[in-house]
Amino acid sequence: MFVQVPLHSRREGLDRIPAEGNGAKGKGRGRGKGKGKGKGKGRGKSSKEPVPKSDKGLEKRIQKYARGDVALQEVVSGKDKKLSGQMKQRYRSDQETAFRLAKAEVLQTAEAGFIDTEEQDQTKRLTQKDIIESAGVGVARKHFSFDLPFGPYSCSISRNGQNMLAGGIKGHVAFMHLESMNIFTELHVKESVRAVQTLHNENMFAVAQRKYIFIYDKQGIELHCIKQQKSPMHLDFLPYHFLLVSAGERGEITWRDISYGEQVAEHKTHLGPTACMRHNPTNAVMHLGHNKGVVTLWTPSVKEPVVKMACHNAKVNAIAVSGNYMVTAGAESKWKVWDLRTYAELHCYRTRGHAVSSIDISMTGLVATGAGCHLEVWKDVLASARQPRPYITEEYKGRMISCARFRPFEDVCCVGHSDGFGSLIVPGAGKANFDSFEANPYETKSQRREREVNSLLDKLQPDSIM
Amino acid sequence: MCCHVLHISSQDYLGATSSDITRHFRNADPDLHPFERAREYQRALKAVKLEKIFAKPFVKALEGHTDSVKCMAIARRMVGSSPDWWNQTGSCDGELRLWDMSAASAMPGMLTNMSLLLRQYLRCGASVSKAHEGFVRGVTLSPDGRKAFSCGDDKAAKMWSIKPKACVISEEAEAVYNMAYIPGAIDHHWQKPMFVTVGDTVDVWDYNRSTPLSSFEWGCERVITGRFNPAEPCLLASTAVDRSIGLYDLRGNSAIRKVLLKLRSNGICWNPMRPMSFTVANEDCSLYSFDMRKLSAAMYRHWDHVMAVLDVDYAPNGQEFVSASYDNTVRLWNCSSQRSKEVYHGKRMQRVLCCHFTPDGRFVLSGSEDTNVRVWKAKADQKLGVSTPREKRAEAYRETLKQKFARMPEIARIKRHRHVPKMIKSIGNKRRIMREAKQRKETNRKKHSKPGTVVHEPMKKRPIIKELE
Repeated sequence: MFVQVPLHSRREGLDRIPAEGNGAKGKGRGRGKGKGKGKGKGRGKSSKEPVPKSDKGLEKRIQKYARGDVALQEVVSGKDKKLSGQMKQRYRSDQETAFRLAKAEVLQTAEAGFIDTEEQDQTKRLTQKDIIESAGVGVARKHFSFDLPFGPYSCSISRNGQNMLAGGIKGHVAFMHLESMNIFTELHVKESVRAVQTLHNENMFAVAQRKYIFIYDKQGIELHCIKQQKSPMHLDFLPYHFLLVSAGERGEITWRDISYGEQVAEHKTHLGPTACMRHNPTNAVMHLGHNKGVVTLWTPSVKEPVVKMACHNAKVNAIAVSGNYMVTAGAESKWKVWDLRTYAELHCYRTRGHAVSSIDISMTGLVATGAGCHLEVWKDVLASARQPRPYITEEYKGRMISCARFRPFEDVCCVGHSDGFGSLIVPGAGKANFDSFEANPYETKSQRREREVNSLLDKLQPDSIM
Repeated sequence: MCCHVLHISSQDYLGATSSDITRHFRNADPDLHPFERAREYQRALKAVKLEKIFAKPFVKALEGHTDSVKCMAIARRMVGSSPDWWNQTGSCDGELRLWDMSAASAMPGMLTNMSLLLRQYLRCGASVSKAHEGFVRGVTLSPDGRKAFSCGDDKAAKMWSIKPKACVISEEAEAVYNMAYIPGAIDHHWQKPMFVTVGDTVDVWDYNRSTPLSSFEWGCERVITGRFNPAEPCLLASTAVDRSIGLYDLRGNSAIRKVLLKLRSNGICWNPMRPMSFTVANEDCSLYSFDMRKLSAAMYRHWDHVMAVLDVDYAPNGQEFVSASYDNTVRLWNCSSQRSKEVYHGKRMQRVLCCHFTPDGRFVLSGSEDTNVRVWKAKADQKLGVSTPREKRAEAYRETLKQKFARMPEIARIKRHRHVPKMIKSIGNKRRIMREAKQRKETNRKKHSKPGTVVHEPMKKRPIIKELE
C-alpha cells in the first residue's frame, strides 16, 4: 500500500517553508515592523540580506511570478524623471506582488504526484497495476477501460479535466463526467466521426462528422449544423477567443466564433488535406501538420502561414504544443522536439516498429506518445537534455493507439485506441492546484453560469492572435 | 517503490451540503492564466464602456425662480455636526432663494437612495421675492451659514439672517449697506465677519458699520468680481471691465499687482489647496490658471468652451474645477490639464450664468437663464447610494485597469468622446480649422523668414498684454 513520504524530502519548495515560518515568527516580522517604511523598499532589502538558505528557494519562486522587469528597468534608469519615477513605483509594486505570490504558495496544499524508485530506470518497467496498488483506493477509480466496437476513438477533455468526449470513427459519440463516470449523453450519428471537441463548458460539444460539423448539447440534442466547412477532419477550440477551429479535407482552416456563430476567417493552406492540428495554448496560434512533412503556423488575420517549418521527411502524424516547445511526430518513425523561439530542433527520438500517431503534452511538461500499441510517457524532454528512456510505458496488446490526451489537474492520460478507450495513471502529469476562477474542476452550476458570462465579456478578439 | 498520485477528493473542495458556501481556490501560476495582458485590456475596454453606460450626471433641477439665475453661493462649512448646506441663489428679477441641501434621511417620497437629498423650502419663507430692485448681482453666505448677503442693482448690499434648523430666511433685511455704485459681486471673508463688494471701487465692509472699512481703487472704471483667498485671509483677487486681474492686500490697504489680458475675465476662483494659484473665466472662451507670483504667463490655458466663460468654481480638493459658459454647457476640468474632462448640457438648459461645487465635492450646481438651478454629479458615472464592498472592489479594479491602459488608442478614444449639441460641435470644428490654419501660417512664415525674426509666442503668454506692479 501507499506510504506517505514526508513532504520535505519530496518537494523542492516545501522543505524551506518551515524555516521561513520561523523567520516570520521571530526575526522576520520584527524586522519588517522596525523599518516601517514602504513595503517595496522593505522587500527589496530583505531579499538581499544574507538570511537563511531558505531565501534561495524563495528567489526561485519569485522568479516564476516576475513580470516584464527587463523593460521596466530600462525606463527606470532613463532621463525622464517623471516617467522613471512612475516606472520605479510600478517596478516595486511588481516585485512586491511577485514576492507575496511566492510566499502565498504555502497555501496551496495539494501536492503533485511522483514515483520514487531506487533507480531511475525502474519507473519505465512499472505497470499500471503496480502504480494503482501503491497509490491507494481512490486512484483505482481513475483507471478505466472500455472495449467498444466503433473504434478507433479520438477524445477531447474539457479544460477543467472533468469531462471527456470520445468519438469512435464509426459514429459513436460519448460525453461523460470522468469523476463520477456518469455518461451525459451517448449517441450514434450513423456516419463517420472524424474529430470531437469539447467547448467552453459541458453544455455543448462539437463533432466533426463525414460532411459537416455538428454542435450537440449535453443531452445529445443537435443544436447547430455548420455546413460552411465541408468534410472537416480536425477540430480545436480556443477558449479565450471562443473560436472553434477546423481543418478540412480540402486543405483549408477556418475559425468560427461560437458566441455568435459567424465565421471569422478561412485560409487555404494549399498543402493538401491537413494531417494534424493543435493550437498553442499560450498564444492561440494554430499549428498544422501536412502530408509533406511541413508544419505551418496560422493566425486568423494573416492569409499566409506565419511560419512554415520543414519538420519531417514524411507525413506529420501528430503535433503537440506547449508554450515555447512543440513536439511533432512524423511517419518516418521519428518524433522531434522543437524550440518555438528559434524554430530549432532540440531532440529527435526514433521509434521502432510503428510511427508515433498521437502526441500530447501534459500541464507539467510530460510528453505522451502513442505508437502502434505502445504508449510511452516521457519526462523532461522539453527543456532539458535528451532522455535515454521513457518515464512510463504501457502496452495495449493488439490495439492501435489513435489518440492520447492528458487530463488537466489529474495524473491521468486518456487513451483512445482501435478497440475503445481507456485511461492511464501517470503520476506527476497534472498540476496539483487549480485556480477556481480559471478552470474549476468542482464548479457549481451558478459558478459555471457566472464564468460563462464573464468569459464572454472578456472574450479576446480574433485579430489579437499573433 | 513508492508512488503518489494526485488524488483530490471532491469533499475537500465542495462543502458537505449543497447549501454550503463554495470556496474559491487561487493559484497565481502564470501557466494557468494565459493571455493575461490581453484579457486585462479587454476588461479595461469593458470598464471604459461601462463608464459611458453609467454616465447619468443629471440629478435634479431646482425650480422656482421666475427669471435667470444670476448668482449662487453655498455655505462653506458644515453647520453643526450634521452636513447641512444652504445654497442661496439670486435671480435677475431681484428674487433670493434659499435651498436646503442636507442629508435629510427623513424625507419620504424623494430619491431615497441619495445620500444628498435636496429639499426645497418654497412655502416656508425660503424665498424673498423683492430682495433688490432690478438684478441680484451677487450673493454670499457667512462661513457658519447663518448670515446671507446679497447685493443688487439698487446700489445696496443687504444682510439676511437664516434659521438653520428650519431653513428659513428672514423676510426683511437685517442690515442694509448703501454704496454709490451698482455692485458687481459680493464675497464673504473666510473667517472674519467681513465682506467685500466690488463696483467702481473695491470696498471691504464690516457687519456692524454702514461705511466700508477700506476702499481700493486702481484706475479702472468697474470691477466685476472679487474673491477672498481661502488660505491667506487678507488677500483679495478681482477682475475688472478694463480686462485686468487685480490682487489686493487688506493689511497694506493697497492694490499689489495687476495683469492686463486681451479680453475681460468674468469670474475668478482661488484654488483652495494651492493658495498661490487661481483660475479666471475669460471672455475668449478659455479659462486661465495663474500662479500669483508669476503673472506674466498663465500656468495653464483650459480651452474647450466655444463661447465666453462666465463663472468658475473649484472643488474642495483643489484638483478639479467647474466652469459655466454662454454656450449652454457646464464643463469639468482637472486643474492641471488643458482640455475638459466632462461636459454637461441639457436640452432645455440655456446659457449658464453661474456654477458651484458642493463642499463634499460630489455634486456640481449650475444656474442658468432658463430659471433653473441644476444639480449634477461631479463624476458622471458615480453610483449614488450605498455600494457593497464587492461593488467597491470591482469599481476600484476597473479604475486601475482604465488607468493602466489609458493610453491605448481605442480606450482613450472611448473615454474622451462626449456627445455635444450640434451648435457646439460645429463651432468647435470651425475653431479647429481656424486654429490649424493659423498654425500652418505661422510655421510657413517661420520657414520662409530669416531665422529669429518670427518669434513663436506660447499659448500661455498670448492672452496677456502686460503685468503692472
